[in-house]
Order: sequence, then C-alpha cells, then structure tokens
Amino acid sequence: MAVIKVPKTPRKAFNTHRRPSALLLGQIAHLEWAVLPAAQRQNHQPRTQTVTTEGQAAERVAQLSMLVLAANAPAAVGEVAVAPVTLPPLPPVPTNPRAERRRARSTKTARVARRRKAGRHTATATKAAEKARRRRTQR
Amino acid sequence: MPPPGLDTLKHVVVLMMENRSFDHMLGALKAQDPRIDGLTGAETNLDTSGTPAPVKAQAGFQGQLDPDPSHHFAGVDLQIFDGNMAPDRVATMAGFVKSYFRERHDVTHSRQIMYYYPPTKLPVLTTLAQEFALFNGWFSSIPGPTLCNRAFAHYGTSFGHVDMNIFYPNTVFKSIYQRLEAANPHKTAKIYYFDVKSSTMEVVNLLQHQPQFFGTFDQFLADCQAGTLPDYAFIEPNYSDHDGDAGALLASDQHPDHDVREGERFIASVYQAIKDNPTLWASTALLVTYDEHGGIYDHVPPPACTPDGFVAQPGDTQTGKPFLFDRLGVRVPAILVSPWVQKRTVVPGLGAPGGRVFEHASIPATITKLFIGDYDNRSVREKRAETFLDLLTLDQMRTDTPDFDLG
Repeated sequence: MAVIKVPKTPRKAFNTHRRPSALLLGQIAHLEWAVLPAAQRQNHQPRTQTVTTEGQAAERVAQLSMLVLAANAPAAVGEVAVAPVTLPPLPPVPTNPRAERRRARSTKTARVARRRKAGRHTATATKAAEKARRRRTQR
Repeated sequence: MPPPGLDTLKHVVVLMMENRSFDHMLGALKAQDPRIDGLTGAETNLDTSGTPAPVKAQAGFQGQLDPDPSHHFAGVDLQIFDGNMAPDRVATMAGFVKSYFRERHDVTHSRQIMYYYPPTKLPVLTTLAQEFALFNGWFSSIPGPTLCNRAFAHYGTSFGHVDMNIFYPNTVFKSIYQRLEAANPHKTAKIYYFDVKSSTMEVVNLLQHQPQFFGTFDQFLADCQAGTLPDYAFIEPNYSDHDGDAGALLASDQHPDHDVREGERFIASVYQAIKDNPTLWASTALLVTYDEHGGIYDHVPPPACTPDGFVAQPGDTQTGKPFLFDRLGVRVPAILVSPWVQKRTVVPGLGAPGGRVFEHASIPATITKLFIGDYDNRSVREKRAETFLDLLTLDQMRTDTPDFDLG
C-alpha cells in the first residue's frame, strides 16, 4: 500500500495568545483543588485565578501538575503533618514574538510607514497636488 | 476457540480526541460507501431567521468555530430537541444553528456549525476509517461536556455529573486502571498525557492518588519502540499551544479552535508508533475516538439507554429538569485499528439490521472483559455496554495496511 503523506500544520496556526477554552479553565480549577490539602478545600468549589491566554494556561497547568505530583510522591518515614498550602501566583503571560510583530505591524503608524516605504503615500500626495493644479487651471 | 487476532491480542490502546461530531469529520464518506451513516447533503437546520442552513463540505481547519460552540448540558439539549421541553418530546437534531447563534448573535456565522470536511482534508482519519472498522453508532455517553464524558471511559459512569465539576469524592466504582492493577494475574495500565504543560484531564482522582498510572507521550513512543507498552494504554492529546523544549508545540486535540491538521498528525503518529514495531503491531488494537461532539452538527438522534442509577438535579442540568442518564450524547467518530480487522468494516448502527450501539462505557467494558473477565462492582451502564473486540475476525494478519509519512 502506498505511503500517505500527512501535510505539516502551518506555523501560523500556533497562537499562545488565544483565549483559553472552558476546558483549560476547568482543568486548572481541578488542579488548584487537587493542590490544596483536604482541610483547605471548600465545598469542592475551587477558587480559580484567571489566566488570560492559552500560553499562560499551559504554564499554570505545568506549575500545578508538578505540585500535585510532588505532594503525592511517597512520603518520608515519620512524615505525617500536612502543612497549609498557598497556591502559587499565576505565571506571567508568555511573550509571543510573532504575535507582537503582527500587532506592531497593524498599528496606524506602522501602516503609514509601510505605505511610505512602498511609495504609495507619495504617489497619492502627488496625485492630489496634480488634481488641485488642474482645478486651478480650469478656473 | 477465539479467532487468532483475539488470541494474540496483548495490548489495547485508546486515543481520545476532543469535540468533533461524526458527520463533521466523516459524514462525507457516505458518498464513497453508502453503508456509512453519514450525510446525504440534504440535511438542514433552520437558522434564527427561519432560513434553512444546509450541511456544506466547507469546514475549515481553524477559525470557523470561534467562539467555542456550546456543549454544556443545556446547550446540547437545545441542539438535540430544538427547544422542545414537552414530556413526550422527540429528538430532531434541529437546534444546532440556533444554539450556535447564541454564542455570537451572528446568523451567517451560526450556519457554519453545519459544515463538514471533505475526505481529502482529513487524509489520516478517513484512511483509517476506510481501511479498518468504522462504527456507525458510537455515541458520547452524556449529552454534555468533556469531563463527564471522559469519566465514562475511565469509570463506566460519571457518578451523576453532567458538567465539568467532577471531583469524584467517595467514588463507588474503581477506575479501569485500578481494576487492572488489582487483577490476578496483575495487569498493567497507563494514561499517557502529552507533556506536563498539557497534563491530564483526569486530575483529581487519578493524578492525585495514583500518579503511577501516568506517563508522557514521549514515554509512549519509547515504550512502543522498546516493546514495553502496558496491557492497556489511554492517550491524551496536547490540549494547548505552548512552548516546549524543542520549540513551539501545537495543540493536537482538535478542540475548536485548534488546527485540525495537527490532530491528524497526532493520530498518525500514534498509529505509526505502534505499526513501526512489528511485534507490537501484531498484538495491539487501537481505538481512535472523540469525547463528545463539541456542539457541532450530527444527524443521528442519540438513543435511549440503560440508566446508571444516578440522577443529575435541575440545578446541574440547567434545563429545569433532572436527568436520569437514560439517553446517550451526540454521535462521535470511532475507529478500531488492527491488522486482524477486515478492511472496510462498517459496524452498523441504529436502525440497521444487526445494528449495535456503543458509547464510552464500552471502553472499560471491553478492557475488563479482555483482561479481567467476570467483574461485578461496576455501573449498570458499563455492564450493559457493547464490547468491540469481536471485530478482530481475520484468520490471517493483513499485510496491506497503510503507512503515514509525517515528514
């Protein structure tokens, strides 16, 4: 049977600045609940600090998953006390150089600069001046 | 005497993707094989202006399903019953466009919920569907969101939950992983999540209390290569775009609005990891399925099912009515892959002669039957669920199975 080539996903699909889905927010809520000792949990309703991007959600998931795994690693002999746990602060929103560049490109100043660079701005100005001169001549 | 494929079966691998309906992904295959219960092209839903919105082969890889279509219990109820709340109501599958309209209040945009993929856009999933066994009647277990549906794959029940708030305190039934670990003779099981930044959706009762059941996708690849795969493996895709050690890692779960192509690549990589080890390939069955439909159109009304004894209260369903777990959720793609499966098998679904209905409780039911045998302490739903390994019918292993080149 012939080998089926699977196309690569374009790089532009990658977007850590996407809004996090309800699924990711739910996952974080569960992990936050799991990090806290039983005595600190309230009615199974976790307190979720809000992450704002998918990249930040991924960092938060990693941060909490490692805490859950560490807390449930086999305990040392004689270690029984459960210390109160404070949830760590949210990780910063990861920067996305491509998104930053995209954002920068879409600002008005950048658009004007691009037009100037392409000569379109000058051409428009020249055309307007020519039109005004013709109008004056006709009068 | 069992067929040779079943006799040599040592491993079962389940890959559960996210939030796509059967018709959306595979509905177009009906044109190539009329046995497949897909789309005729004449299916419609009315939009909020009363205009019919037809199904169209115009699904995009990314960008059409933002914001995320509703797939919470009340939203799915609207999709299935079109807002009819009468006691004798009938499932019409006519409320998908109306439901999606609520997300953005844009009539044109809401019609995109009817879009489906032409087979050429999904070369991996459609090849597997046509080369191995495609289920016409595999439904999500609950007309609701991810976590309660995934719970059925692990426990055979969601313990009365129809939402994302599943913390499983005092569970009455053991997970399939715990059952296998306690079996005599002892069996091995593992949940492979993609990496620590994607982690798992089974956090509270499993990651917290049984970290020994977890591994990463890199470990899955290594286990396949070394021939050290556990008896049962459950694979979770990457749930988020994030940076990894080797650079940008794209979400591969196919959850809207993640790029569907990366999920295709992920499915192919799981398949190829098993196939590249000839011993493993001969002794492994791979099930590829989706947790739920994600609010996307499917034309088959979900059937009634055996209640599992739990009741979700009106406050949880947000429909003003309790839910007795007596109806399945919307249909999802499901494909069984093995060299012992007859090429182009289509497992008939609802209403067809010899039709069979599967749901996610079929997963622990099948694993329990294969590796443990008699096991009583599980939900009624799981006990009644269909199992699927009887599809390994061939006397001789196939040698004509496809390969994927991931480049």
